[in-house]
Amino acid sequence: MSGSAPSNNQAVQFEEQQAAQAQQQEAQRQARLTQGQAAINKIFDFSAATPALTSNYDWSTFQAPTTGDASTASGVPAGYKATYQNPTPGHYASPGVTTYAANAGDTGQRGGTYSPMATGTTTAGSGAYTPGTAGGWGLTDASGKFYVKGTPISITTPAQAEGGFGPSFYKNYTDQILNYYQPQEAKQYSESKRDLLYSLANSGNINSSTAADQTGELGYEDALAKASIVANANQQTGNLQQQIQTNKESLINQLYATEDPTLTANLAESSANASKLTTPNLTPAASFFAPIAVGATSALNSALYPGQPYASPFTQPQQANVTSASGSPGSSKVYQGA
Amino acid sequence: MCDPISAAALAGSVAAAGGGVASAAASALPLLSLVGSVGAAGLNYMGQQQTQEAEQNANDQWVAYQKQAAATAQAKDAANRAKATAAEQTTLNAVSPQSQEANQQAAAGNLNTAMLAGGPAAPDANVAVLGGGDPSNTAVTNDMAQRITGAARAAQGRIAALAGMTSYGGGYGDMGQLASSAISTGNEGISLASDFRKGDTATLGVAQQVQPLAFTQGSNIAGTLASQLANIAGSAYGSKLKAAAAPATS
Repeated sequence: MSGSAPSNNQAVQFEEQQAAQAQQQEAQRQARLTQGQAAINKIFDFSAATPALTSNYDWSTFQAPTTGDASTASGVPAGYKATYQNPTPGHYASPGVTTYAANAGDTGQRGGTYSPMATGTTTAGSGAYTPGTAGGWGLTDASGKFYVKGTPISITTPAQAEGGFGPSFYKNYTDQILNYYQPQEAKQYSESKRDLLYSLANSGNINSSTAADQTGELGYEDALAKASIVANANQQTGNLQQQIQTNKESLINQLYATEDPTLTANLAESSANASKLTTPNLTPAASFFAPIAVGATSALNSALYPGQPYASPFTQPQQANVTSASGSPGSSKVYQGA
Repeated sequence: MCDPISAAALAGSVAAAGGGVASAAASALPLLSLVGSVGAAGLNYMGQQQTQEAEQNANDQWVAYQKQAAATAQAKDAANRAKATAAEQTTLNAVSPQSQEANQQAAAGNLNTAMLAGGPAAPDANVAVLGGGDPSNTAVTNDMAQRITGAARAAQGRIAALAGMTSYGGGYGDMGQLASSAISTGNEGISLASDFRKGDTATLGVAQQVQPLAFTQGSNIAGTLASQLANIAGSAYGSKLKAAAAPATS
């Protein structure tokens, strides 16, 4: 009668539609980001390896659907699916179960052609009695075998390999560095020890305080060289870990920019593979051991005993009281034979 | 069209029109004009009332819609803020002084063990190599062993210092690295929650742009007709009065 009507109906409808669309798109966007982030985390973050595990399925975790939709069941173990199976009634070989009354000894119910009588036996009826099967919600395995709720099921959880970048990956990287440098250091130490021995022998100081000092010095340098190699390996491994973390952050930024979880997962996979192929920065090891100067001693001994490269105080008693200056700090005394 | 006022107005208007034709009803013109005017006013009032009611209803729906949108956005915002706070708290725990100190000490211990692994040869071996194998020469063996042990001890001290220094930062599994990793992990969670919050806020902004339905009172045919006919009746009655008054003045 009055003719009053909304004047902006179309505009409001459009705005509401836009709002609903924005909400839906935002939900989808957030789902994509969540999926992408999970994919990146799975590729980069460490997950410990787990062995295969077999255990009895805990039926208390099984939640049957309330709507009849099997896909809404929860607690379904991997490799199984929730299934509803109708109970099958027990029956006699001869028909006419409708005539049966509740007899003594019956544990089921009777009445009707398909009266459930899943268990129990009765003396009534004629012919062989086939027990029925219980029904309801249960689980079906890959072969199609149905397990009614409560039936023991042995569930095997497959073994999971270590995922992401974890201690074993970084240890392997560290070991590569150690395996490269440590033999070099050992070789140089062995050579330095040999050279020192020869030098001491040539200078006649093999049983002198100089020998003790310089052997101690050599051991000192050896220990520090080994520690330095470990520190270097640790540093390089730390750099690698930092680089991997940076790669992960870059991929997350790309995820935010593209909002494409599939693309991001592929990039993450490529980046992770590249990182796994990363080789340590191995350069030829420098000289770990400074030459230990016993030259002065050698020169003195050579001057004193020309033609005798090896002058042991034990075999050369005449130099028993010779005190020579050596390149090492401290005095060098020659031990008297006992 | 079926309510009493409308019916009366129309009846009045029709009667007024009929009255214009039939002179017998001329005396009813004032009444018809009055009835038509009242009817038109009544219809107009009803139209205004209905428009106001419709607008009130639309506004109520709009308010409910906005409240629902705001509540949904607020709930999402609170959930995401809680996630960000949880990520921040985890990070704070990981970088707390106690945690960092524990990380540093563990790293120092691990490094020290690794650095000392396969350490220098035992003093006895060196002594033997250097000809101190003479069991009767205790002066040599003792002095050598003492110096070599001293050197090894000095090296171990420096190695422990190196391990301690390295354990603070720069290497794998050390205090700085673990703190950096914890902060990065926290940032990931905070950034994701923050991004979601921004998106939800933007979505709410779109919802807030939705206007309430606006109603305007359209033309009232019955009222207009009644008003027009009342005018006709009034005019006719006025003309009649004018015509009746004219001879008297002449």
